[in-house]
Amino acid sequence: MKELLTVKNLSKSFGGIRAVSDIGLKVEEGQIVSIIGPNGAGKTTVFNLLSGFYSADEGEIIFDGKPVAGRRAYDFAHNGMVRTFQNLRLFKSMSVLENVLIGRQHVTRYTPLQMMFNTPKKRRMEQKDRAAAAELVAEMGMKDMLNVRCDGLPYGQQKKLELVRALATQPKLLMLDEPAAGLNPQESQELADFIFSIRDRGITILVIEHDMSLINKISDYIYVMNHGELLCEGTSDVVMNDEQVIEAYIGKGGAKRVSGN
Amino acid sequence: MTYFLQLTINAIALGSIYALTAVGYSMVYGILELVNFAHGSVFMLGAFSYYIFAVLVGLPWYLSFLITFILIGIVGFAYDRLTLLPLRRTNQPKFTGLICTLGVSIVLQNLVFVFMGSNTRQFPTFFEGRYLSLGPFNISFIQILIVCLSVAIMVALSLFVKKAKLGVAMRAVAQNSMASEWMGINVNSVVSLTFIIGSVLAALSGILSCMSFRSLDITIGSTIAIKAFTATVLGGIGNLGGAVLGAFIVAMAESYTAGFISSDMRDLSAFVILMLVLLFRPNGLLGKAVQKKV
Repeated sequence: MKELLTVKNLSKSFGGIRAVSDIGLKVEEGQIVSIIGPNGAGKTTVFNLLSGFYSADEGEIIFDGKPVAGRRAYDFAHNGMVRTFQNLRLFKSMSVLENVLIGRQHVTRYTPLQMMFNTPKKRRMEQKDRAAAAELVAEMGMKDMLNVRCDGLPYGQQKKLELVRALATQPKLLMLDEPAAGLNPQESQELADFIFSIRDRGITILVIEHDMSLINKISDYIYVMNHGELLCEGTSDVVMNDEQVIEAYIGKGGAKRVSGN
Repeated sequence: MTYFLQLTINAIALGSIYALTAVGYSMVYGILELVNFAHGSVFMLGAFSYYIFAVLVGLPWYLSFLITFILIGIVGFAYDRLTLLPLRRTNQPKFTGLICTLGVSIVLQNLVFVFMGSNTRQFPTFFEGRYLSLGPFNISFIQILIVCLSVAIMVALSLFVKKAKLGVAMRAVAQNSMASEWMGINVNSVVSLTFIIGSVLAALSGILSCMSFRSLDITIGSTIAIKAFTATVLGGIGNLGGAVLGAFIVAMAESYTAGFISSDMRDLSAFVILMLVLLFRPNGLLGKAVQKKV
């Protein structure tokens, strides 16, 4: 398996607070990898570092063989890395189809001359673009909502639309920031199936999440963070039975009770 | 009644010019949440550029138009890249950008003052001031041209924003620039495009307005800036349809004030409207109430 994303010795401080210190991660192609940890563990900071939102104090992030440092945000989509947001960031007054089309903007490119004269070739490209976007929406089970304005959709569907829009950029790596936040157990189950179907399209996935049942279900590999450091890593069996992890989540006393001492 | 209708006809022509200017204001505000106070100076610069090429150099009108549009497009692009982009890059507060547009406005006005002086010049026009007589009404050819051209441009612009790929990108950036950037849209290019379109529209309305009034001096920019600003605020800032509606309302108020009260009071009407709007409907006629997130 090829390593799609490699992170080495990543550190970031805000003033005197070391939010992330000396983190190393590996994400292999075709895997679903999760980063978990209690509130304030530094997960979101790691995510923001990976997606170029912050610049790291130390360390290296290599995506698809190339270092990420210094890239502009729109370059990430061109290079095949895309993220969703914990709080929805849809284009609210546009339809579902338009939202997905925006995801495809950098995929289809015309020359300025084609734009000015609206050539037949450009019109064909445009039609293909719309058809491809509509097909993606249909495949993801949102066919009936194609022309609905997206602020009229239920919350669960809006979350899903954000995923579909991210898929439209044709990423290699999809990064999900707390995808289950605000979903009920039923929706969370659907989300798990949805994430599997995305993986089956050949897309690698990196998730940050609180929802342990979701993480357990979907992850091939899990990294646990606490106080800005890596606590433990491994498959879900290993991580869920690790004493340090249980302690970080429910405290020392709880850890004792769980292990039966 | 005839007099009233004649004033209305004049107001429609005037409103078209205001609309072209106000749309540029509104577009920039929609994308950057920034009131571009240099817009009026670009309007004036466009008129001067046409004057220089058509009268002083003596080029034919179509070449003068073309050169002016290219030149003003470059000015709009450079204006954003050299002054506003560095502020955005360093995450300066929006207020700094606002002051910056005022500064650019002063610089542009004084540049024109240094090279062209402050005297009023006669501006070339089309159709030699001929007009169409429909019963008791007189409509000059230049007024008809202005209205037709403005309508055509508004229709083209709204189609562009609605359908074209770049237009859709502009709307996306206006709604959520961070998410757009993450979807692979180069936000700075979209902002540049907005400034280019807005500036060219300002230059066009500057030329048309001078053709209609047949005179040009360096103060025309500041008057139009107030009126187009009133129009945008009246319609609901950031809303293109609102800007057009506001432009016609301001033009009508101005025309009736001049016709029925006194022509000295015409500029006063815009300020009165601006104050009333800010008092009773601060979000504008078509604007939605904005809830600021905390």
